[in-house]
Amino acid sequence: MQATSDEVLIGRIANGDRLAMQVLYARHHVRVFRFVVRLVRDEATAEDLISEVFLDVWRQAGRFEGRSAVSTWVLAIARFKALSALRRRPDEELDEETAGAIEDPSDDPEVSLEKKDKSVLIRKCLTGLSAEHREIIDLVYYHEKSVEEVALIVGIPENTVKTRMFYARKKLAELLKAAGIERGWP
Amino acid sequence: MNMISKEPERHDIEALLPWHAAGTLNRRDTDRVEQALAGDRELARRYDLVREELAETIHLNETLGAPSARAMERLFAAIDAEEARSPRRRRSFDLGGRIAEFLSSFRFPIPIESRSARHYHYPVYIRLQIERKLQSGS
Repeated sequence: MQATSDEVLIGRIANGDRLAMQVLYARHHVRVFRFVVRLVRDEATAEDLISEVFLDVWRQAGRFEGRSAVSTWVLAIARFKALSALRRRPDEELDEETAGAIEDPSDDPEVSLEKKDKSVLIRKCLTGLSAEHREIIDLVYYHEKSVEEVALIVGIPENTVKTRMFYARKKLAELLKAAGIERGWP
Repeated sequence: MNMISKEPERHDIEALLPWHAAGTLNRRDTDRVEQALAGDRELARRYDLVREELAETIHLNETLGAPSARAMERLFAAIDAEEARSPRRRRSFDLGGRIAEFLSSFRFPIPIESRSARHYHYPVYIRLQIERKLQSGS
């Protein structure tokens, strides 16, 4: 049996169907939560934002025109909410976060142990990327968004999407190198 | 094995590797990348690095957990409050929606090579046109 498409669900939501809203929420809330939590780095904030994101979906369903996938549209709303929340944070908190993000992995005493496990180290370096770079890596690798879809979500030209992804990967390679993993690229 | 002779062309192909690994390229670009990978060992080695990043990014995200049930409760409480304040107008007979649902039960061929193109569902488009006509009364 074929599942009801997201687009049909949005049509029902536009007509005030709460059940359709529940189905859409169940289908997407985990991924949207993970996208937001990677941006705001705080689970409680991310959880609050998830409710706001899907409330916007409820309110705006009637205006959805189907020019992109529903998941792309929802992620774009989530991104906007996450960035607004980040702007509302006190400066000190942001500074602390930035410092954490650019911390040299080699300073961490645990790193010497983790070197034995390349996978762990790659994941650690992925968390050390800037918000901009984390976002594009997540959208491409985890959320399976095409170049066109990332451009829509982030609001940048398609060529910039490719360039940003290249620099995100380059930065990741640099972090890995600093942590003792030489990949021979770039 | 022949390496890609032109460096700019290799650069273009290399930029597409993350999307190739994620399976989100259109048919034309997929063919270009696969052809290049088959003839360029260095590019194939770099593709292995991309696949490694892809696997770890998925692993990392999968460890992030999920929101609690409170998020959903809060959402529906907000929806209920909003509906109580100003109930949205429901159509008594949503012809456009019903036609869209009927049409969406069929699988249409992907009209153009882009993967994202499959998201431009014809039924929604048709539904929107019909709904606009119904609203305008024409």
